[in-house]
Amino acid sequence: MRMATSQHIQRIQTGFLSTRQHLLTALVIVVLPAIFLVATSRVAGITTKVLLIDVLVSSWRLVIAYVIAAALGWLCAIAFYRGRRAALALPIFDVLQSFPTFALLPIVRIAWGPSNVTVIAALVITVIWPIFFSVVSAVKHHRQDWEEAVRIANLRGFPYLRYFLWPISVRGLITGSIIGLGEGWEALVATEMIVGNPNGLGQFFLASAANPLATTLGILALLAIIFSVNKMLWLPLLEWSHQTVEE
Amino acid sequence: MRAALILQGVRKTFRTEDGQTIVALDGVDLTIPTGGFTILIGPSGCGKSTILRILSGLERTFDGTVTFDPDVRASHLGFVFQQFALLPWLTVRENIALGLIARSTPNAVRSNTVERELERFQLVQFADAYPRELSGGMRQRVGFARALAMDPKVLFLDEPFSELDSFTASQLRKELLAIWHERSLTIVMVTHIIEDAILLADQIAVVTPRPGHIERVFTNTLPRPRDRRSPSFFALEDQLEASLKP
Repeated sequence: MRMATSQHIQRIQTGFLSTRQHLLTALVIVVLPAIFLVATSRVAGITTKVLLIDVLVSSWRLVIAYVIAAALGWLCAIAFYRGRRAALALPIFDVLQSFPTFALLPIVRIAWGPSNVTVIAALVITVIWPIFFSVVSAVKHHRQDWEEAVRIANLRGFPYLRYFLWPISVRGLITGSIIGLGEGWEALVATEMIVGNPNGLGQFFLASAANPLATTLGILALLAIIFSVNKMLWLPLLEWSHQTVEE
Repeated sequence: MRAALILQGVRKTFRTEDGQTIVALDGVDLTIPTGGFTILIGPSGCGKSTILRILSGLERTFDGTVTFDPDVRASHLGFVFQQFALLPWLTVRENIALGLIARSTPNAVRSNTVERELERFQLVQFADAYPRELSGGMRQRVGFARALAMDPKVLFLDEPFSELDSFTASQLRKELLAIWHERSLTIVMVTHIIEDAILLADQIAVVTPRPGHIERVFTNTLPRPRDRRSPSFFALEDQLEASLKP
């Protein structure tokens, strides 16, 4: 009995330490590039404020698109992961996910012009598929006797969602989010360039095309954000999600 | 004798990946007496767990009929799994409460029932631990507690001691018998260990394979507590061994 309790404490400590390590690493990744950005922007002849505003506007668009894609992707995955609905819908979703997002951009731009909505719509279409398929995979592939224990308990409706579907889907949601956001950054910059939004990183890269130092600075800013978010948020979440289904 | 469950003419087939049909069970007839301790015994792969799954409602595609006593409903069934089947993201307390949550049992009643089972299975100290932090024996205790928290009338057990060391298994066997008496349960258990069958059951159904069917049903009238060194124990053991021989 004592052994199990000390193992419990040890695991909690290990989890805490790894989270602390992530935070320290993230601090290094955030603070150093920030100092670097301020210094280099002077040399590149642009104001740090311009770069920061473009980074923030782009990040904000991606965050909004991610929230919509995660909610929609998760709901669709839960609605269509098995049964007759899955047999009908999954092949259609499989074709749709292969459809290039940029082919839809002209239509989206006609509908909403060079606006935030256009960029966000394009991003949602890009980010949703990895989330959807990762969640479907997570809820389909788990230990059979968990499902049977839940059936014997007669868990249905909201309790089934809360105590079973949500916990088994979280790992897929996190993995899908990491992949989706990776693809999202690429789509974000390209969409902002094509659509011609007045600000954002895409516009920054277009405007700085003749200034290699400013372009490099933009790329470094982008990398700093991606690394920080991964280290601070996604990696700890991924570790935690693996722990929750560990037996 | 009142029957809790009756299996009649049960046939179960599986389809292999190359399109072949395998008959897992054929012509299975069995009556489970109310309040009795029935054990299905047989070699690995003979279909005894499939019979248990059909009885418990986990397996729904089969031919034949399963008749329940009118007093037994689906919510009166409990199941203890071979590999515990605890949900690893829930604590011991939450795992035990699972069936009560499903029934929307009021919080106070749920809490009292969970506490009762925690105490019954000496799990109070581990109420807030996760299954991964427990030994195999403790996990199976949680499995028992979860099944019994629902106050089942019929309890199904699929080789519940096979993942445990012999000392823990022996302890849990004694506790199972005590619970059976305390709560007037109907128990249906699967095992491949003849000694377990004789020690625990008062009805032993021998299942033989290809295709799985009930070869013979023994009524075990040995007095309790059973003495595994008694001549009548050995005699029944010999009879069961003879029935199980291919």
